[in-house]
Amino acid sequence: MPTPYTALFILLGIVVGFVVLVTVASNLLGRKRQNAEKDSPYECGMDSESPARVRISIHFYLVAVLFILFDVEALFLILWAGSAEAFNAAGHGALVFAEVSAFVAVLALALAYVWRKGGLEWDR
Amino acid sequence: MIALLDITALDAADLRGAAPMLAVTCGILLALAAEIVPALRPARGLAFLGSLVAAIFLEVQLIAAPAGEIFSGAFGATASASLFGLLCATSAIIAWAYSLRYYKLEAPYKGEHDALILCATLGMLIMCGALDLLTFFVGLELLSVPLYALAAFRRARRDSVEAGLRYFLLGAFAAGLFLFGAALLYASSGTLSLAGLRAASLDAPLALMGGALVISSLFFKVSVFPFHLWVPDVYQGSPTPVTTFMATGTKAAGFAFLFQVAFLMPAGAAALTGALAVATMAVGNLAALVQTDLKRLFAFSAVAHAGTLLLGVAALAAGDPVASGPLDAALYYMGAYIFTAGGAFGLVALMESEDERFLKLDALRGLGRRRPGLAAALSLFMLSLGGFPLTGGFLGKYFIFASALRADLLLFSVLGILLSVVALGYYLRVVMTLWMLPAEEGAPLLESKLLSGRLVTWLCTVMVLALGLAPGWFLERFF
Amino acid sequence: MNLILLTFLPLAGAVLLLLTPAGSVKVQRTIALVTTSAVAVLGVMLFGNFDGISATAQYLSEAPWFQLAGKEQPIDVWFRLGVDGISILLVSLTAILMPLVVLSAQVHIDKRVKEFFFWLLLMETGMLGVFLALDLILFYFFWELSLIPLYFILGIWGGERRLYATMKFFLYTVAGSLLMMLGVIWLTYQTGESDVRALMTLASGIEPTVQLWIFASFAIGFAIKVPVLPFHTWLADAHTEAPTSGSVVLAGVLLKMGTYGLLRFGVGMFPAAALEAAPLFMGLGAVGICYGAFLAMAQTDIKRLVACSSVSHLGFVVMGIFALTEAGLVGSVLQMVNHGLSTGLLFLLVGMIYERRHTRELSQYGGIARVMPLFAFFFVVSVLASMGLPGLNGFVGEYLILLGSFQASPLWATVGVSGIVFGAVYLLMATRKLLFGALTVEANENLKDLDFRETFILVPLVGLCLWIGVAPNSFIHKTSGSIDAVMLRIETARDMRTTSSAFNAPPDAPATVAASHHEQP
Repeated sequence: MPTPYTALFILLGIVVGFVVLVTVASNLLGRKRQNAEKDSPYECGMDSESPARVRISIHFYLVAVLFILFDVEALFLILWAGSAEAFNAAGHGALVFAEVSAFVAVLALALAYVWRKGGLEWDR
Repeated sequence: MIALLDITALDAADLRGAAPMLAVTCGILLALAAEIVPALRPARGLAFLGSLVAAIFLEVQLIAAPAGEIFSGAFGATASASLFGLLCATSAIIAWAYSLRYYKLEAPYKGEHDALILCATLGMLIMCGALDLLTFFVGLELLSVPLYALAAFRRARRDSVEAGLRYFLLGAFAAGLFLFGAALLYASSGTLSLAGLRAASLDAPLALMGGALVISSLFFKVSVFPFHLWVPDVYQGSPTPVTTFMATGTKAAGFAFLFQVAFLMPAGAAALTGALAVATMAVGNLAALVQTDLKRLFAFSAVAHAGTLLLGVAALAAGDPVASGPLDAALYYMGAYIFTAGGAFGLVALMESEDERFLKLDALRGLGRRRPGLAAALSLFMLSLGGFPLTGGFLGKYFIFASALRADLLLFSVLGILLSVVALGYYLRVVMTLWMLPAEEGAPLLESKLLSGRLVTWLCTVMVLALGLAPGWFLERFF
Repeated sequence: MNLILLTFLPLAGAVLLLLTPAGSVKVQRTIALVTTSAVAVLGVMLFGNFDGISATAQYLSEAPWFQLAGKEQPIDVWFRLGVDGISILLVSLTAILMPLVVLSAQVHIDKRVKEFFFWLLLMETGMLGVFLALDLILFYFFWELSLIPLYFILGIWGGERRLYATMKFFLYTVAGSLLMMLGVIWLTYQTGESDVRALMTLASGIEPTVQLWIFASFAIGFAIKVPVLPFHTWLADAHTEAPTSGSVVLAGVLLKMGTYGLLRFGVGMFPAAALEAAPLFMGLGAVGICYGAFLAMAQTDIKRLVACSSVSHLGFVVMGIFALTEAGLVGSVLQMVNHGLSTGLLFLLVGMIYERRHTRELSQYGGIARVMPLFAFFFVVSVLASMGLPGLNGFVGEYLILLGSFQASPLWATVGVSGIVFGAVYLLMATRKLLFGALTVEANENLKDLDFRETFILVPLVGLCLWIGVAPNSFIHKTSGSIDAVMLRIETARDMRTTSSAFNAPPDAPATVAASHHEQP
């Protein structure tokens, strides 16, 4: 039953099959000689100095999230700004302006909240 | 630029249909404002309750006179959507009423807690009426993100944080499934609106895949087998008021949309859905039998109830000759479930806020002697969850099974009925523990002073009995 | 006479009980006694005024309740109570038994008295409702309502292994009633009606194979309750662990709900299906008679013995119902009452001796008749009534049942007759071990004979046994109209069967059969 996807599925099968084949074959056929040197992390020939997992201050994430939030706000505002004229022409200018103002007001409230809660202070 | 061509202003119907959501939005803003201006803090509870009661009131208006499709067909303020919305808002009130004394360490952040619950409620209201996959997704995320935070709200406790993380990871995965499914549907039909999808031919593999992905992600939200694995850990780890909310509200909103998109399932999927329903009931009920932790027991019971509701979806897919039968049955079932499960989880929260030991089933021993009122209410909820006559749970179950039988799902109905005998096994174990086993030495006995908890327990008790004894009153007004 | 008053008076009493302070045991006992006595008076009045010739339901009280989704139009569910010839005896039996149960509970229920009477009164409402409900959905409500109180009575005031017995009892019966729920759903949907009276004619219009399925779902539910043979294991455990008053209600009334259901909803509603299933059920009944008797012979616990004898006696009732003859049906209705009286008496007596000695082992007794002559008198009378001695109630019922069964199936009737002999064996053996012989156990020497209260409980029951035994017609007449109506339906179905052999028709032909069913009113 050839459908437009038949080729796709055949390709999918080949890809998966190949991956499985190669993995299994190398595991079965390859020679395994393990030693400490081989198991150590590879850092361009240098000895590794510290654990790979470093804890990053939660503030980075907080700031990142806030940034995205207000970034998206800007996106909406640009869309509105770009089409404000068309809205005006259709006679809905005031209404849409009011809507955007409400949107900004909500975000302002959120900003005030974050500020108040100390979310913008770096070292606390 | 195409979108600009059909600019329409908000009209009165839009506002009327969106009024409950606007009420909840005002509640969110007020809750946040109260955090900014300390003088407003005492009014916090009032704002929370006021906005939800207003939303319920507006939903009742909408049930009587539906606003129909609003926002250019992105949202449908139909009677059933409004009834689902009403149930979600009620579930938020119930969860909130039991949360007032619950948090000790986190008490300073109670304002955020309430705001998050309102956010999630708003998300539910959107999900209930969504007529467009994108609208639904907005609602879904508005529900999920606050719930991730709420699940991890007791951040000093490992299990709570674990619950939050687990819920987040799996929830994000489910959201991904949904988006991918929606994308595939769009690719094959060129539309995201349910009306458009209904009109389009969905037989192409791409569309079938898309539909399956969308349905699967919904199955995840409402905890249907095999997507239920997150439930016990998340329900157990989350703060109990949040669990209350998750078990009742999320389920209502998820099923509201599942009924809307049931048409995405190909013909012949009814049997598969029925089988999944029975499997869900089996997994939930059998696992619940061996639990010793009260919340875990209720969590598995919540899974089983999702299975019963899914039987309603299967009846819809199989073509119940009474066209409105499955949805009405699910609505009634959900209505009873909101109050029963809400009350049951809520009472656990209430007892837990007095003493953490109440988390174990054994701590309930002899409670019938020491706190007869509380034990009687909990027993009633158990009987209703088990679907015993005189309670709303029975009629809900009756309607669902009636619908399934009408749709010729005889085998699944019989299996489901037998599994509900198993369910009574553990519900009655709770009743037995309450009344028939002697109390342990030094068992906690604290008088609950929480007025809101008592009031809501009374509300749930009365509603469970009213739904069981006077179904005509509800059927005439809300269906 | 208002049936709503009769049914809900106990409920009102139960609510009143909840309002009393915890310590005031005397007030609570009085409330329970006054309520049940009032109901008993109403029940006796109902019995007196009831017109047995008429087959229609009398003293109807009804009000619209709610609507279910139906085929073409919604199904109206009514709150509808009424009494007819099948239920009248059981209603009166329930009403009369309950005050005696309350009286008997005075000694052995010494803890949580308020709760006990609350459940007892609630149970009375449930049981009366089961017998009086004339709407299928309402019947189902009451059916399940009567389950919960016994669950608590067994679980709180029962013996050592009460939790096990409680769970077993509950899960068995609930499994049956949930399957029955599917039957209720399908029956109401197929006929668009939930009025029991209308269903009596409408049900036979359903496709025969579907009828058989619905009948099966009902029959399993009722058979578990009775209990018919393969489902009987819960009964012995429940009786052994239940307090005396619980046992009396269980044996006296609750088990009758099963036989009553078999008669009204099994045979009465689906005569054609009942004809198909009759050999099976007659066989199960007859085997149950003997099996129960053998079980009873092997018991050393006297209460367990009486419980097993229940299985045997109810086998008679089931056999009589499924003989599908007039004598069988009348005998079964009467035997339900007889079993309630004589087994109730035996449980009460066993309870009374248990209260004195706190053991139910037969080996712990012997020669009691010497120290307790009054007790011995009542015990012997009860045993004789239970055995079916002419002149006492058991004889009339068993005779009619066997008469009816012989017409239907000589084989099973013969098996049933031998059950009577076995019954005499274990009952007389138990009597001898308990009452007669030498007084071997020292503790028995100072036993007090029955006091006034205990005698007062037993006298009305023994009186009724005697009355039914001597003048059974005053009871049979009350049921004749309704039994005739059932018989008419059975005969119609029998004729249909011989002319069209409905159930042997190939599965693609049922449409014609259903149509021809309709023409028969």
